[in-house]
Amino acid sequence: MSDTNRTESLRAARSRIRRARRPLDRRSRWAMGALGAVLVASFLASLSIGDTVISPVRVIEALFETQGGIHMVVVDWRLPRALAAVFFGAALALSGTVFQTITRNPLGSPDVIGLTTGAYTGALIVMTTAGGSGMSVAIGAVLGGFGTAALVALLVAGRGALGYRIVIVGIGVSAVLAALNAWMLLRARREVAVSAAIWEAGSLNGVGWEQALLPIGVVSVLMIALWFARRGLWLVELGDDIGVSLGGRMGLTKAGLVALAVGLIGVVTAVIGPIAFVALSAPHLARLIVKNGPAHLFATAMTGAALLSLADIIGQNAVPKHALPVGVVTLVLGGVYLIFLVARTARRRF
Amino acid sequence: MIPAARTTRDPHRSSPGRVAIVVVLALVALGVASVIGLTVGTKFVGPSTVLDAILRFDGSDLQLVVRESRIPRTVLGIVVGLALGAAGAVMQGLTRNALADPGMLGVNAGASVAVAIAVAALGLRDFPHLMAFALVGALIATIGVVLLGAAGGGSPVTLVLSGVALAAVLGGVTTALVLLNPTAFLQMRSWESGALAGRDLSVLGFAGPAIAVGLALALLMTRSLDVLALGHDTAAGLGVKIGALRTGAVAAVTLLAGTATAVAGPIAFLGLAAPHIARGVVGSSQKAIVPLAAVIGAIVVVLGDVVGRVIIAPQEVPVGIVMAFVAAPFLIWIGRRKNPVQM
Repeated sequence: MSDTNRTESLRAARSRIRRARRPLDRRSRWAMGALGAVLVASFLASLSIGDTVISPVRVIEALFETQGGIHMVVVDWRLPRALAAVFFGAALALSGTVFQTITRNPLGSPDVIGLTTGAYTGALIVMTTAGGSGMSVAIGAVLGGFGTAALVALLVAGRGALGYRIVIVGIGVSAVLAALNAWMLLRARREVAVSAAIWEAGSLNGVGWEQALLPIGVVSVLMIALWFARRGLWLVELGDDIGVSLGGRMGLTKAGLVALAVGLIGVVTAVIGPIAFVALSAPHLARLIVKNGPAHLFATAMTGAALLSLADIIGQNAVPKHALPVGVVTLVLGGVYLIFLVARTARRRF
Repeated sequence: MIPAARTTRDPHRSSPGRVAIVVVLALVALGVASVIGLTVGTKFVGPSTVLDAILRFDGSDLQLVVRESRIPRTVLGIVVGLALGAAGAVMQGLTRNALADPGMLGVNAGASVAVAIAVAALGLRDFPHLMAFALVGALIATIGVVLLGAAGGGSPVTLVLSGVALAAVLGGVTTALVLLNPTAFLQMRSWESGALAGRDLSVLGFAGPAIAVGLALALLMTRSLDVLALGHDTAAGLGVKIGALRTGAVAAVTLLAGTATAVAGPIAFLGLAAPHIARGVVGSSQKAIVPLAAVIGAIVVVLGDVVGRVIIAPQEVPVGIVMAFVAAPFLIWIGRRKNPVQM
């Protein structure tokens, strides 16, 4: 890059950051407001719809009661699940946006490049060897996610910047890990295999306060950390060259961001199993509302929260008398979305 | 994609004499693999016992193992391997895409979802019905992925990603169907891992002819596929009927991949790996690649089944899982190449 070019692109980058820091325009403000309304509506819906339908007004009343049947249904049974859907959806979406930025690929989301499969591998290793549950499985899942991220990074390192290389290699790594998972399931004792198979579908079933509180706390901390690291995310988005010129230490920045993103998706996968496509699609949908800057992070988190929440409501109620795992719903809906995305972006992206 | 790149390849590699030698050697290797498939397992069975079991059956335990298990598995392994190897080669030749594979592009997932519908919704159990459903599912998925790839502007990576997305959706539907129906869950679980164990040779009555027709179609199309490599316009100018070729290729892939999936469950990446190995040996002519990829596919499946039998004996690893370990690294290797898409 010649000097004049460099100054030119630096100037462009600075002005882009300034633009991103400006308050939102009218259209984006309206869109954010609408998104917030959808999120609140889906949250209330997940509290009111179920085996017994409770009116939203009654739901809100029940939130402030201290006892009674309705209170128990709403606060003890449905609230932890609804909160988990919101926080975990936001966590998946933010993890997705970090990965898409770092891989510079709209498809480079953690589930496409195999991290969720790797997290499952980690959890399965713990389940089948140590027979552990809860915390140790969660740690296994997070470590599995980190290991897979490192493996994919290693396999594409130094191979030249092709946007889709990481996707192809990721699919391959994911397939090997999926085979490993299937093999472990076959060898596992029956009870372990059954519980692991249910978990594999990705479900919020059985998420009560006990299962939800700690993970919600952890992902909240990680999301706050990501908020403070947002400058690094823009530097990465602008490219290594410009990032370094603006005083960023890109290697360190990227490593830190990946750690946060893997942490987010690892915790969620550990608790409710692999959830496909929320991480992929939420950042794209959020871009329809806000292009970039800090508001985009908010929009992404809100979109992810609304998506997982709505998917869970669909899974709970689509088939009478049966509850479909939320992971199956996001798999089907997200896959359809991916097909559209691929068909639409193909011409200019690849 | 780039005709110029093809001329830089060593032209001697695809000379007819060399191809004939390679195919004969591959068939010999398949013979050796079959002998291993018949003799090696949790119990080693000597070749003489195998021969006795076929010619002078006396009902002894060892001979029973050979007749009831080893022979069906080896024969079905050969058939499935031939089918998947050839299907992958045809798909790569048609799409001019080094990443094409019936498993990855969702064809096997299409067969799976159709079988899941048959099992869960209609309660079907017998092989002819399941195979019919698998073929219809594979056909719809093949057409779907070809259309999707075209909608995406014909870019090679688009085709793959469309296929992966399609496979994901179909997989999700399969999971949903199976979760709603516990009996189907158990039946689909063993079938989905891709196993040759416990399959009866009688399935060949239906699967054999379908795969034979598919193989014949595939071999008939090799010349046109070679011309197609020069580009659509050139091929059309040289008298290749592109529409007919595409229809024939879709039919061949459907018959081969659909039937193989009905027999052994979804086996991914073999259709990706076998043509690449073949291309490495005989160069870029489809005339050589299709038959060689088929034979290589058969060798890999038969040996993969043996590995699955012995690696954690007395338990077994289904051949579909072994294949993923063996063949998926090929995708990683292709992804690491300078230009992953070019053949």
